Amino acid sequence: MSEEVTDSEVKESLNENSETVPEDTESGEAEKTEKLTRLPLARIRTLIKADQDVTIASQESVFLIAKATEIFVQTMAKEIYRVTQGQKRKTVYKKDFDSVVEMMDEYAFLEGAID
Amino acid sequence: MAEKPEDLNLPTSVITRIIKEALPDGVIMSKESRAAISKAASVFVLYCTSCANNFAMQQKRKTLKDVDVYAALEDMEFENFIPLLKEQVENFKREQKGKKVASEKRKKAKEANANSPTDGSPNKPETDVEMKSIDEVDTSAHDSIVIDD
Repeated sequence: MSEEVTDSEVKESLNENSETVPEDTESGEAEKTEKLTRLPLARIRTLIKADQDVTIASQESVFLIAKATEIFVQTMAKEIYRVTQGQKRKTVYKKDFDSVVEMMDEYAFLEGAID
Repeated sequence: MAEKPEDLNLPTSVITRIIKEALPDGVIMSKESRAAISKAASVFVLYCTSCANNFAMQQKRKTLKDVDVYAALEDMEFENFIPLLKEQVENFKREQKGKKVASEKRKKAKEANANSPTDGSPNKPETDVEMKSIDEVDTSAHDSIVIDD
């Protein structure tokens, strides 16, 4: 798994997110200059398509999964940090992540998935 | 189906930003912990998709819909995500509608321009010419056509 943030990846995520902004102003509705989701929908769609049982996914469902993933990352990060704090540390280590997976039912699906 | 590992990963920069905003200032994330959360996010997408698709298949549907995602999240014990998602999806639908209306307007504008006579489209001048020629012909044909009893 590539952990390096390549320039193209940063550009890609920025481009895909900013694509929604000009179209908003074009339609005359300048109310939201915020992006609705930060995760690129195209990448989420690639992941969804990786499931061979999935025939087709509505645009809404792709958006929902993207948004849910964002909330998941936020939620999990907070849980992990709670473990870190409990050990009087300011640096989050992989073992804190492992503790959460072990201790909390909702994260049990991650058991064995991340080495 | 050969899948490059990069394709299944979510952009690290975006994941990092989301984590950073969720945590208080001054917290340091080790590289491994950040990578673990990023991978977990990908697994979450796959798991959520799988659960959602099960619901769709149960209802004999081939299309994965929003209701399937909600059902999946409940199953996964992330039902607390649902109220916020429902709020956000309304914004998304509005944005999509806006885009659709905008593109339809643009289409209609293009069609209207194509049909307008200001471009000198062939239709009108032709009829004018035809009428002129008919007028001309009338005067000359009048003599030749008239068949008196």
